[in-house]
Amino acid sequence: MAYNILIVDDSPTMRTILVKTLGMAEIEIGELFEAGNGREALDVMESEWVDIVFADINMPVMNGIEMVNIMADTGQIKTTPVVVISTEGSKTRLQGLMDKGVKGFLRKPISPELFKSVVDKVLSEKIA
Amino acid sequence: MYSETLGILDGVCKLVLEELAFLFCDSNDASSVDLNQMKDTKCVSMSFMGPTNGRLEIAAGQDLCLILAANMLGAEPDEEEAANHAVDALKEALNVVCGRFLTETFGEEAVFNLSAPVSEPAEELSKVHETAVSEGMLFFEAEGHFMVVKITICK
Repeated sequence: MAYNILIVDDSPTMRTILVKTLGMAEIEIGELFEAGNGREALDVMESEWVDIVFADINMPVMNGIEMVNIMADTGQIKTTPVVVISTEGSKTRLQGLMDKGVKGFLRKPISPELFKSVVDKVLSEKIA
Repeated sequence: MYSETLGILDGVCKLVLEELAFLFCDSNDASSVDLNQMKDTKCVSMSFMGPTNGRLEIAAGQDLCLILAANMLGAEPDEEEAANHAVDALKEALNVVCGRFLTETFGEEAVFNLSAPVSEPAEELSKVHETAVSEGMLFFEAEGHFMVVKITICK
């Protein structure tokens, strides 16, 4: 099954790495969307069907926490799972994001194996 | 600058560059780099605000930036893709170093707000910032190229 994937990161390099990592992890991609911040990501989700979102936290304009807060307020986070990919190491902040409905967390730099295991888990929960 | 803090930063820089870009760095002394001669150098910085406020900067020559980008992307340093991502790769390396360093230094309970990494003139590296309480610099060599990492603790 192919999935529509949205990658949200202000770094074009990181977005390119994630696209390549998706390929290495053999995750079947339907449509691939990219956004440079949380605001752009919300705009994409308004007009396109997205199966899973990979989002950074530290971004200009609208950061990942603000984006997650809006998705939690509107209830969108229940139907569109979010996996945070960040350098964030604060358990306090990560717990706050999980409480808002974030489904997974990967700390940069990420390995394809760990990436695949988290994506498989999140998507299998979504299908179930 | 406390030597313990610089020791943590030294270890984090080496680990991140190895994990992120398969770059193996050796520590060097200050005399190996002349900051005034840093002409073809890319410099990026970001600030952190939390239990302690401060700023982290990394400077590296264009050649090392190309190697960094190429290794991160699985490309060759002479490919256009590496050239297009050279400075952004340095920013991403700084971002990862900063996140790891703050967790290693202040623990997993501390919450920091980080600015997005930005490019700055290389001359900024040798300036003392108005709000600086203390600062320290680390010098590395990777694949024959230099890299400078500067940390400033602010009020």
